[in-house]
Amino acid sequence: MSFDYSRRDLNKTQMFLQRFFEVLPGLTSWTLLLGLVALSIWAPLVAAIVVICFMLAWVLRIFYLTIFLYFSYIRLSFEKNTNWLARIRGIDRLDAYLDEGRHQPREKDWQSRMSRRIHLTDMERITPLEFRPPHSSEIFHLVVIPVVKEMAAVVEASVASVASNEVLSRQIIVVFALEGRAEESVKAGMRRIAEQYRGRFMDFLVAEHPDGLPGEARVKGANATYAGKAAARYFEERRIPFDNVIVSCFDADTVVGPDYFACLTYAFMTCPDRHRASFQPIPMFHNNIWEVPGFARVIESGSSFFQFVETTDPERLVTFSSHSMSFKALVELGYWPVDMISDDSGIFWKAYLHFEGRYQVVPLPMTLSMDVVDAGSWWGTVVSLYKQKRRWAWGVENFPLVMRGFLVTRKIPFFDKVRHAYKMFEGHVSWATLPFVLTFVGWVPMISSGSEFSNTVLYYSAGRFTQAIFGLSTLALFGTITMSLMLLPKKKKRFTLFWTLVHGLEWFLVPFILVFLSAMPALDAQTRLMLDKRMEFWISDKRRIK
Amino acid sequence: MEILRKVVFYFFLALYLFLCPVIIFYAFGYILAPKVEEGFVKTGLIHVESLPENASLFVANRRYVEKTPATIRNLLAGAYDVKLTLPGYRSWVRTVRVEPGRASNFSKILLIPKKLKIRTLIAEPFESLQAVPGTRFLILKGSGSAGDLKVFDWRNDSVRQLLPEGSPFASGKLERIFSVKDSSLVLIRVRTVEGEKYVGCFLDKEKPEVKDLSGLFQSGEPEEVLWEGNRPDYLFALYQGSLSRLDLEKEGVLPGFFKKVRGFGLLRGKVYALCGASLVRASFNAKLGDKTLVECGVFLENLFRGEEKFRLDFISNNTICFRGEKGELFSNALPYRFVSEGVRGYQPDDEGRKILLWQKNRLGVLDFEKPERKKEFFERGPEIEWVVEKGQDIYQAYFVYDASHVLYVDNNQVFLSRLEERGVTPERLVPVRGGSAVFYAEKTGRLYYLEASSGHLASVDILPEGITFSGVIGEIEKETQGAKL
Repeated sequence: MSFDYSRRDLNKTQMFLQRFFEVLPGLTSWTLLLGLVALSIWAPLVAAIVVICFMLAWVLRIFYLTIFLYFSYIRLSFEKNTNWLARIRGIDRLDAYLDEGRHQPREKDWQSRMSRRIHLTDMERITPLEFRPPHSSEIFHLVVIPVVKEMAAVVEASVASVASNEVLSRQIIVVFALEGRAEESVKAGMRRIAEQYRGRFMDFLVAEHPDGLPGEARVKGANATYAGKAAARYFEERRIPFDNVIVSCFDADTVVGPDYFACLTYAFMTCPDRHRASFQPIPMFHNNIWEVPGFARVIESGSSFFQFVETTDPERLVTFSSHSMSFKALVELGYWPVDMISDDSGIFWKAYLHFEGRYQVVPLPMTLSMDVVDAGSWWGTVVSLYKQKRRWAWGVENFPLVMRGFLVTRKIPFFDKVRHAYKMFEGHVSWATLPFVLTFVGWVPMISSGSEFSNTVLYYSAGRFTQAIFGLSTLALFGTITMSLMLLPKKKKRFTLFWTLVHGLEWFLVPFILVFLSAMPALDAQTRLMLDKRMEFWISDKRRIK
Repeated sequence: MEILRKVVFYFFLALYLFLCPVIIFYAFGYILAPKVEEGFVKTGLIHVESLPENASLFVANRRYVEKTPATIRNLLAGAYDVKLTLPGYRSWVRTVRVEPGRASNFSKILLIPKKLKIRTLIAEPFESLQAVPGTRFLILKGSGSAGDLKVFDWRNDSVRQLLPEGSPFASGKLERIFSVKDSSLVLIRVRTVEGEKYVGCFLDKEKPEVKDLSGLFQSGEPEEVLWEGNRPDYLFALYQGSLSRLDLEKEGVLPGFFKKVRGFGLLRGKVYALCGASLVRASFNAKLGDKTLVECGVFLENLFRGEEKFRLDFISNNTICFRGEKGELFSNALPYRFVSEGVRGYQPDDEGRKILLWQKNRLGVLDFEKPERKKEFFERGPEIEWVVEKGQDIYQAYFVYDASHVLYVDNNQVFLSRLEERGVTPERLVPVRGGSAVFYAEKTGRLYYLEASSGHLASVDILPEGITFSGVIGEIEKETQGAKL
């Protein structure tokens, strides 16, 4: 479908629709918050009922998410000992390998048994000839790393981790998407890294993106697109079919494991519709987790957990942060959006509309690690985190584009449109409002009510109910704390019992974090979009302590 | 995983759809009562809070595990006998009507000890007690001579003579004590062999300190003398409708500051006076004739008909009360005329939101900020709620326990009554000396009075020790500014 996934060059009707859908999330959030406050004052009885409904939904949602957090963790544990390389080599001779798999002796542990079962299902899915993948030796990886101001140490760690995929590294082409406006010292650092690592990959390109190309905003997507186009020329020159290329767009601080590309290749090979799919690993923010303030640790662990849960719902999964996809698909749909900040989710929606609903995100049972925002000081980190979350929440800019796309496309089933639109809209509105409602607005009926309300049974029940909800939420919080303890990387230094306890108790910062570093930036982003105050791409502060 | 997710999702959705109405109905008080015909009934609740806490709770003769503060839910509509008991305290028993969906709220129940903690503070006989409102001082009058006057500091439980030893005024006969709120200066009128003397006494000095101000009172005996508590540099004396300004610093008198005065009051460095049927205002340091007309006209003429004199009190920045000689009570707030006669006195709360007023046999609360009843055809403004109606000779009252209770003296007996309850027999506390005032300090939760038989100064604890409301009532320890003499 020829839908231009951009807000540029719109006619009057399209611009009206664009603005309408830009205003809608922010307006809804504000209406909800202010409406509830007003309702609390003028109709506290109604407000108390609404708050009860909200709170019950909240607590059930927390339990629901916690359950799937554990399911996701269990799913990940199935593949703890998986030899992805052996699997992709096996798929190269699919029929014989499948037969071997079916007759393989039963493994001792249940995780391995589950892993094999899933593996067999994956292989059975691609046995029809039309779904057969290319030979693994003919699959190439393009790794695009956009750079503008990142420290060389941060980027080098990322490149080194890609290089650690030794067996496949000769099939990997790394491209530094270097912004032309970057400082000379940054450029020199990147060139040094490229020289140093070139020999370990099939090739290492540095594409310097000129600043201010027509139609582009100063965003990461424009930089990555420029590098993507340079890579396309590279493949064409070497007659490498785009069908056989998987492109991974990594944030500069992304650190992958030594079997990441084997796992990605496996997912690509076993996906029957591999050119209509993105591949999403689980981002963990572990690179510097023990070097940042406690609140930063908590919020980023929360972000990881959210992605953990998201991977259990492939039907509605959307690409986030570092992800991979078929290069053929990328070229077909015209690369990443060049005028949007949220290129990571934007590329999924662009593809979903371009391929008229025939596009999916395949979750990878694999984690990769990134940096927690660290500005060097406590307050600096708060500000930096706030800006990062606001940038993430700016993903709401996709909503008007997707809605316009849904209105023009006929092939996407109505149910799918409603489902996606609802998830997107509800997700953003809840993000900006629920913490406020639960922390502040929920109490307004109790505080602002006159004697008419305070002499009702509801007045007393509401307070009791709120207490019960917070009690249950704390229970779910303990589940999350347990999970965080299981997932966190080993501490580089040994902490005393006191500090270990403090690290556990950090999770009780959640109410503060939810309001000030989650809901508030989300509301900020929605308000900006509502008022047509566009944002510029802001690079989070990340650093390495030597 | 996909199927599992859907199963769990629909399970949670069903759970939500089931729980949401159940919780909302429960929150409104609906329960399933198998013994009741309808099955589902709407219940009410009783909420009780007591001071001291941890009182045992009985509802309909059934003892509950909960101790106060407690909320007893799921009560079918009807009347219930509620009883609170706490060892060492008088039981609190009421019949409470429970209505469906409503909460019968009994917050701030003050439990009275069975044996009141009475302390004799000064074991010598006194005739009367006069509190200086807003300060920590009580003035105790003995036989009648000025030399017998004593000052009791209730914050420090200390006592001293009002006049210094050997004072020439000590042998004089005390005729009147003038005091104002928040001022540690009191003015006494003493009849000596040399004639009428006016003596300024400073209560907050370590040793008795006085100043002869008789020179400022050459015009005779004033009907009223007022000054502003925190600005005792000017005094205003009313002589037969003419207001004089007395300058303490320059020791000068400006007679006729206002004329035809029927009443006056002071607020923030300004004198307000009701002259005829007009309200006028002037700064303390204004020149003669330099006054501003605040309001006049037919409306005020109707309100202040006749020649009667009034006392003006600024209850808050917005509310003025006018008390007439016959005990009328007017205000600048709707409906202006509250009581037509018989008001003996009133006591505002510290925030100036409401006043406690009393007549000979009844006592009421006038809440200026209480929201009006449902819109009526005629605007009414606040109305007095009479909380005691069968008194015999009420002559003083105080708000107690954050204005939830009222303590009053009726026929030389001190009573305590909870404001929200009508028709309940008040708690009898102690007998007091006939005709003498009492003083209640919310800061200490203590009542100061003269014992009925001996005339000794005594105190009784009304609030349990350690529970005080220093921010609520004005008995704060203000170190008021001394006069520049």
